Amino acid sequence: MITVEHLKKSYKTTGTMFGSAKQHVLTDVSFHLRHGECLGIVGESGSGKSTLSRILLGLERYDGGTILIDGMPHNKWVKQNKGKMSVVFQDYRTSVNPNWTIEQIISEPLNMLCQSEGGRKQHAAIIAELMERIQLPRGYLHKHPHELSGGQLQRICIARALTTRPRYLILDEAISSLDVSVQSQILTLLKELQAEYSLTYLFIAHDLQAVTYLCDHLAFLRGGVIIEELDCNHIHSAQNEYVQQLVGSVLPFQSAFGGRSTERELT
Amino acid sequence: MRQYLTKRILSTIPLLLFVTFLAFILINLRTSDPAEIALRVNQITPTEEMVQSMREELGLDEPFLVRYKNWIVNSLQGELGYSYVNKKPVLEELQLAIPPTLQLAGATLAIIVFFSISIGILCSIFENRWQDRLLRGFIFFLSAMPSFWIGLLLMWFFAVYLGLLPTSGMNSPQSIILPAVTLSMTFLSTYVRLIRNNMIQNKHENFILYAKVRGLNERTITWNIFTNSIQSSLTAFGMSIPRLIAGTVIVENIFAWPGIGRLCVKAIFNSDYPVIQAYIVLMAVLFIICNLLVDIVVVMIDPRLRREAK
Amino acid sequence: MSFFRRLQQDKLGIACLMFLGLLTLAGIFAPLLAPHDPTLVNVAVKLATPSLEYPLGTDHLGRCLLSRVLFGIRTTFFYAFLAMGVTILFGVIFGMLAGYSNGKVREAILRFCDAMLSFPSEVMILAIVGILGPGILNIVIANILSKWAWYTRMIYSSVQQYRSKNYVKFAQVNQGSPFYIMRKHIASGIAGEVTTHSTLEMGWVILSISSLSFLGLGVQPPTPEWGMMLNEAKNVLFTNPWQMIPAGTITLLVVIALNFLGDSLQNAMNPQAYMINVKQQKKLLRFGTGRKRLNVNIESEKS
Repeated sequence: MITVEHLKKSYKTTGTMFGSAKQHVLTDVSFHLRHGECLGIVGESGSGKSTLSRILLGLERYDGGTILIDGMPHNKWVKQNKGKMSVVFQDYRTSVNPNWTIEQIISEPLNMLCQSEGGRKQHAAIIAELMERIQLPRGYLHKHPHELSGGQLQRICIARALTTRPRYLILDEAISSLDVSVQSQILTLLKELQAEYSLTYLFIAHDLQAVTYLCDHLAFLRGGVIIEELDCNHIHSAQNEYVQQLVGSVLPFQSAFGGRSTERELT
Repeated sequence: MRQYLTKRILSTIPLLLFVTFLAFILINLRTSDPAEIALRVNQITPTEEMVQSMREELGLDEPFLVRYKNWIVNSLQGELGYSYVNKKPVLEELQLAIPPTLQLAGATLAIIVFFSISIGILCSIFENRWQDRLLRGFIFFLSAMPSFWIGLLLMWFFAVYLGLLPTSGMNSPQSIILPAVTLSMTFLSTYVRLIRNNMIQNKHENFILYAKVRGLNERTITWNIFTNSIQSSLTAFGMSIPRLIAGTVIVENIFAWPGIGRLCVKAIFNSDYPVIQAYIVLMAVLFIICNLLVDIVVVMIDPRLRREAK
Repeated sequence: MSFFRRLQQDKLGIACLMFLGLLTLAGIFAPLLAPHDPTLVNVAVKLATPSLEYPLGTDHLGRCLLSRVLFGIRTTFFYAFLAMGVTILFGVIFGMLAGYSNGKVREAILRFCDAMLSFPSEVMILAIVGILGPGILNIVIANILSKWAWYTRMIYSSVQQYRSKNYVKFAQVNQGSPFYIMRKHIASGIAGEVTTHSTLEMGWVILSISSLSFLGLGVQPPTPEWGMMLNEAKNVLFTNPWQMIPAGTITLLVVIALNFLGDSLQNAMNPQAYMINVKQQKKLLRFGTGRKRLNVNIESEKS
């Protein structure tokens, strides 16, 4: 369970002659993420989504507020639970070291955790299982990233994130750079994996359709504030005007096909 | 636009100060005493007394920053000090040496512009065919040659073997041909490649395709591509001017061309510091001003940048 | 396909590498290979044309030109490597420092580099030699000072670039220490770039050393050096044009080899660029090897 309360973050903007001004990226962000659920954070670019994910991953510090993970303060939890939180980034090309083979890439998190000889054999078993799970042939392990397509590479990134059996997986716009047909495949895969490995997802996106397919809850982020939290089944009961507008932009599909057509369309 | 100009011009001031200060410090940091050198180069064995009086004459016993200030003020008034070797004012020496260097640089630039444009166009017309590869290979070969070696080879072939051109000095108008050709060799390869690539890139732009669709004739289209490519190559040509002037050193020494490069090398041999200092500062100022001008011209030519600069 | 495999495909690159390697060996074993003492003056045979006794002839003092060219390898390569090595060392130290320090230190280093870079290196070298006086070590120092800022900037920007890559972030998420990341991800990337650039740059350093020696500001006689040999050849240009051929040719070959090798390294270093440049080139030139390899790839994919 991740609990975020009144999270604040601001950056110094340089370049002005009269001292440095502060740019507030996150002003007041609070949400809960229960175990086994999927929370979608939706917002347009510049709303602070990526900053939020970087803070949760421990890549950046925050200025105020609290983050509790499983009841523990964030930085303590991160130190004690190596490999229990992982991430899949948007840009799959820069997510992997271009000079490494797929095998090196996938086994990196495992090797960082454990270097012993006995571990190696276990690692190979884990990797073999995951390769099968993401439906890529074993022979791909000896290839280089540039020989793979975007969708294949993103699968590798997902498999890499899962090698250390994380409890929490942050999907930072993980499907946004992919073709639409590939997006749906990856979404299906993610949904299956969630059940299989009892994962908790934090899905950051700007595309409402994909989010509603995968998530149980939605949080709308705008100007550094969570303006509304919704259950996915009650998406039309939004109070906030901006959220209504956003939901409305997906509605035409709904009226054309009836019911939760977004889901059917993607699968 | 005006705001951009003032900002850009003002930004050169700290750079100028930094560069002159650096030149001043470096000259003052060296181990040997300038007063002693000034005496030695005149073949006087220095005694304690003479060094002292020489120091006073050269104003070397004042505090450091005062000396820097004096030096800047004097330089701005055109008083660059006196050569240790022949006691002549440095300014006079420079005035004698700068025109030949400018002539040489100008002639070289003309050669570079003419040949790089014509070869560049030829290469782009024959893109990736054997003519293109042959020309580029030849140009690459020329530019990899050490310039002093090309100079010697050209001198031997045209001046000694064929006896067509004068070997060195600047006694006749033809004297400039060999040094200018030699100097242009180093730069030619870069510009041929630049123009060729610009032309090829422009060839595949949409507006050229559109022109082809409209059925414009080949010559008009090539002309369009050419004018577009030239604009983007202009900056590169502008930037090459200070490098050309700095690059004259070796060529001037091979062909005994009485320019500032030769003056500087002679000064280095004689430890004639006022001349070296003047050369360094002159080059630095030249570079900073040329960069400034190129930046301004680029902004004025390109409408996109012009709007941004506002 | 690893870096070396890709480099092996590049025949021209391999040829250049072998040529430079052989030349280095020839320099190391110059005392064994050289037929004569390179500084032995023998006026009786001065300005001889090539013969069995003197394969490349003799210079104006009757010294064997082949021996002088061979010993010249030592001088040129040694000082060029020295200059390059120290430049890279400084560049790496200050570039890393700028990349990993915050605020003031970084700004100070970068501003200073910018100011240094506003000087072109040719003028800078001449200025420094002018201040320190003629001499080969001063030329090495001048080369280092004029190029150091450039390498610092390059390494700084690649450190920044690599640190923003997602795979580095992923390693950070998995609690990889800065040292681990530096070793595994950043060092290898930077090493590649530095090798490529310094190979391309090496030709430039060699040219600057021999140019200044040609002017008489560098290596002092009687040490054999190519630029200085050409300076000596210049004096007898009218009567003995052969004198300028050996030293000039060897300089030209070394510079060309370094250029081609640099290009090949650049291609081999970057798998994506390799796919685009070399494979396309090979297809265009209709080289059999290129097409065969493509077929092999397709077959292995099928199986």
